[in-house]
Amino acid sequence: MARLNVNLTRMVLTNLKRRLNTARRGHKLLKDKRDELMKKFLEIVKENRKEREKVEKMLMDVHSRFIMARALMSDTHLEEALIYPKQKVTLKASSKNVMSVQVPVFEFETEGQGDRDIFPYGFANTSGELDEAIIALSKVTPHLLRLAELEKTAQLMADEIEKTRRRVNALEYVMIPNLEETIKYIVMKLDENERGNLTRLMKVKDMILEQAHGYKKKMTEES
Amino acid sequence: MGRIREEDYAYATARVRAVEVRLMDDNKINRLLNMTDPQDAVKFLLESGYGADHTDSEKKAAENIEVLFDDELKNTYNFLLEILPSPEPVYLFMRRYDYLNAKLILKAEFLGVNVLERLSHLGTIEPEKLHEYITDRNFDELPEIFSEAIHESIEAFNLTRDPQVIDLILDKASYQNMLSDAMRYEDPFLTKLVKKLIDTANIRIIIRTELLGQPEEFIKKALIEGGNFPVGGSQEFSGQNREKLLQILNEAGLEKLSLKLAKAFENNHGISEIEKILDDYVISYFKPSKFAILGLDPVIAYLFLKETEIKNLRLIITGMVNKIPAEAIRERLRMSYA
Repeated sequence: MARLNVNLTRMVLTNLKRRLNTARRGHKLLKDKRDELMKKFLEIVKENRKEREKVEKMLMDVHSRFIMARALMSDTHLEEALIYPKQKVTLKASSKNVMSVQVPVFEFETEGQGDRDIFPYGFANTSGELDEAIIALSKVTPHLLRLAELEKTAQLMADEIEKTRRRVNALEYVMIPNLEETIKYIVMKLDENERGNLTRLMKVKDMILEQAHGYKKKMTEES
Repeated sequence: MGRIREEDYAYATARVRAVEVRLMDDNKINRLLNMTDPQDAVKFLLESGYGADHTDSEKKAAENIEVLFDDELKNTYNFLLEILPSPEPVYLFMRRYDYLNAKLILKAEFLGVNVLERLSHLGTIEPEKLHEYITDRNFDELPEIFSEAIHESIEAFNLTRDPQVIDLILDKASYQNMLSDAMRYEDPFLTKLVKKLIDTANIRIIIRTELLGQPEEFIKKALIEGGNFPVGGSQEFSGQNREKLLQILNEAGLEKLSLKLAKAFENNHGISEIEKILDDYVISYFKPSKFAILGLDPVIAYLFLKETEIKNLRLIITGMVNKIPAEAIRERLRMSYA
């Protein structure tokens, strides 16, 4: 462990002790934050996996229906039918705070007369299989947005967990041991100084007494 | 326009009889269905005469099967125009692509995108010209029904901002145009055929609007008049339309079709089975044409059989590319030869 390069004074010692206290409290708080983030992260990952499986299944269904519609209509017919979407979707993107992480929140609103009003083409020259594909696709949209929200949240939380983990480790394995060692060293040095002072004082006392009473001289005479 | 005599079709009938043997029969369709590699299927099509006009057809076909089908259809139309004494019966069906292009041009214009390259070349009007007419709002060169429909759909779109109204108006006008052309041509075979096409379009609309729970006003706007069974006036469709539809078909003398549709409703296999029944119903109209010695019937029958063949081939190859089970493809295949 590296000792900090500080002056070996009581003031510094007091400051370092204060810093150590703060570091220990911060370490505990960050550790709690990391644990809570992990808990939330695991919940999100679990939900994300479920949502992804659901969305993938739904998209496969949409894909197979579109393939069938595509197989029954020429490129130009399909292009004409789908070029101009009938339903407009407004996406509102905001954010919310989860354990000091700003995670996205997507809300979407559709303009139109609801689920029945989503077909931008006439029914005389198009295949009915296209209707099924469009319905399936419109059902998958809210799930896709939820998945996007979850995946981004998981990504942001993973970043925050990583940052917190680094901070916890830095406090646990670097800052706190360094402070402890420096404090120990300063205490040791100050104690040593103290002991040096005491010895010096005793010596001075002896010298003063000697000067005043001449004990040494008397002792020599007596003997 | 005076009616053309049956004898005038002698040359056209003979030419059609010579080429119709090259249409894909059940054996060829089964061979294609058993293939697993789309490249093999394309080779098979090239061997069967598809893309014969292109030197680089193999490469082209492998890249985009749709180009091959479009070219084949274009060749078929050109062939029929070449052999018929009057182009009108072929123009009647080619105009469907003018309407398709018009819909695409209008939607693209309202959306602010360029679709010139994606327009169909199968119509009677060059796509570039049609694009120019519509963009400049110069409808003088277009048939009256067509120009009125374009004008109406522009107005309706500006009022509602709903792209579906463009399709509804132009689809309706497309069938009305076909019917008026057929009546002008004074050929009962052609008129009956167009009426059958209107019937199948109406049945498709009625069933799909019911399945999708579309409101009554929508059905009223979408249905096309001029078919064999009435759709306007007292025959208003709303809510549970199936029973009413079957009853009306029976009353209009279309019992066989009604029976097949009733069975499909019972099977509840979805819209695909119903669409197949409707397409097969149109193709079955050409059965007697097989035995006709002279006349327009074999020529138009050939056109429809070719279109159906292309529809079936597109179904098989798209299914093959996307690994759709052969059974799902087989049950959607249209009657290939009457």
